[in-house]
Amino acid sequence: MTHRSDDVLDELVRHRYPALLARARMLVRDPAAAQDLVQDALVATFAGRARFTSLPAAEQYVRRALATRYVDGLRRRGRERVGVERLAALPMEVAPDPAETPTRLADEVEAALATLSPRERACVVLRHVEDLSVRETAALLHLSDGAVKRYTSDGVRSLSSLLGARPPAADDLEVLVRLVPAQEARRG
Amino acid sequence: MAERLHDLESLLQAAESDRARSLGSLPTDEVLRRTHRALRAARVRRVALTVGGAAASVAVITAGVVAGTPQATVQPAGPEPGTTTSTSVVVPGLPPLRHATEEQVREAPEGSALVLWEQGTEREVRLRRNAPLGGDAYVLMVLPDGEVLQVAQAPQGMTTLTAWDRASATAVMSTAEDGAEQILVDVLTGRIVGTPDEPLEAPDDYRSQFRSPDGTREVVDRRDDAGARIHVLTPDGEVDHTVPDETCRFVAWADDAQLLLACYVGWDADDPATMTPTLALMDATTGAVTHQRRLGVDDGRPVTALRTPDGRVVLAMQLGDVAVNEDADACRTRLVALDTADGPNLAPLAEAPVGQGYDPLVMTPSGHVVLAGKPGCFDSARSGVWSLDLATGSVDVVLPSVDGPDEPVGMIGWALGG
Repeated sequence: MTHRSDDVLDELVRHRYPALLARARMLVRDPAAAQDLVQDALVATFAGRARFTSLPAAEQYVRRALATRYVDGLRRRGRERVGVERLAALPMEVAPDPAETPTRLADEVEAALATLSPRERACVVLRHVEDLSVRETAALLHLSDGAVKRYTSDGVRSLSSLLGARPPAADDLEVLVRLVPAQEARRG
Repeated sequence: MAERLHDLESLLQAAESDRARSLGSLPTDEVLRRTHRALRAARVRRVALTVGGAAASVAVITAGVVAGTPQATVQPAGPEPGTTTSTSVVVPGLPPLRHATEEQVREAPEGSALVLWEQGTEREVRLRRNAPLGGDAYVLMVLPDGEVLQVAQAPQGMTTLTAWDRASATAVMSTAEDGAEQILVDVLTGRIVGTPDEPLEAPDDYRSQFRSPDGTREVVDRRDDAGARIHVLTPDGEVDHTVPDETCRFVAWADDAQLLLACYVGWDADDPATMTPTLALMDATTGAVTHQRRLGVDDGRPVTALRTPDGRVVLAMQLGDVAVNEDADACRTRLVALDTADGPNLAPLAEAPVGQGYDPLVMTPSGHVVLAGKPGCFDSARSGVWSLDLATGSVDVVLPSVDGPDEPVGMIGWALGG
């Protein structure tokens, strides 16, 4: 039986696969692992009860699933995932896909993202590429708001330094320096 | 380029667009074929279980049940904690269990694990999700010798278990509806006592594998742009070794002097040949690769390693692949002994039906390995726990995994004691 959502799946892969893969490459640098992550997110999305009738809705769902599957894979004690993660963690020369045209900007940014811890990477991508709020990011990744702020802040700081870029506005980041009330400041 | 873009968000988004454009000519037919194949495998199981929806699958994918056991009913919780006698408790889906005393919980030996055991059937779980009917999961404790004890009833609605601290007798759990919130539970009483002081980080449960047996050196998990390398931290500093292939990964210390690597070419889940590694032994001091051995497709691939009490290295080999197999039995875990006398040779020890396992495996002082996970290749399979005797190869079921719409859902969480 052909599900209507399967038609959406086909359309999504045919028209938006490069975009999904590009997002996955921000999370896992290895091209093969990124393809696996996209497939994992597609299966997780379309195997469930949710039925999509529009491409944008499905794409948004899968984009978020990429981050959750990525972080869940770290959290879950699946040994295979640990193995894959360990594989991804080893430094490697990333061999470009033959069908891929060279891109210096993406290479630079992905290399910089790869230096972040996995959770920093996921938080930065969800907050500053997917444009989710702290609360939405925390809910997706099953982290506390504070943890999301901390991971995002640390990740942004490292990335900005590596890429020579200006970090987002301060209110997007956790304020790590707590203001001390004047009364306390005078004490001692 | 980076130097012309000053705003980080713009830079990230431009890089993503740039990458997407670079991939624009990627053929998608093969991607669709593989995705549909994996999707069919995932759906076959869900349809058979009449389970719908990602949320429902959260409760169902890790479960275990005894076939033919009575319809689940709400059982009274065990005796109050702190008693010094162990009484028998009935938990749906399991034979009568002894009730754990407070002392047994707080002083549980290393290698003990806590289990969240859902007593409701799938239908009851679904109904409860729509209209909560009461707390329905038990907290069980699995001792390294394979004995299962009942500890308490979990607070209402708990569907995940992520950590257990033996000394404080507390565990971190969460609910499906509010999984973002981590809840601290007193496992002796089954009561919620607050939230963890710090959000739980992923356990570094394979870290010990990176240390040499004598503890003097450690393989460092660090990435940089220096190429494919293994970093070994020694008392005198760090040494870098070039690996023989770009996709070699560290598996274990074969002994105090040698590293075992698994090297892949391609890593395409649809092509078994690319999922079959070459094992390599590398001198940890010089980086010289002394032996290489190409495994066969039937040998599987190493996913983790343990050390026996007498110092032997045991590898857990993954057979089959959950993403591509439609034959449920194709995915299994085989434990093999590593022999390095004449290159990396593997001797089978025991095999369990676990296709997707929890980490880490437990090595008991008696030479048994306890592993938990889902049998076969399907993501929606129910979890169980098995004990493998490395000396005889015999396999005992510690907590069962049995399908059935009228059976309790069973095991939904597993955490080693910290």
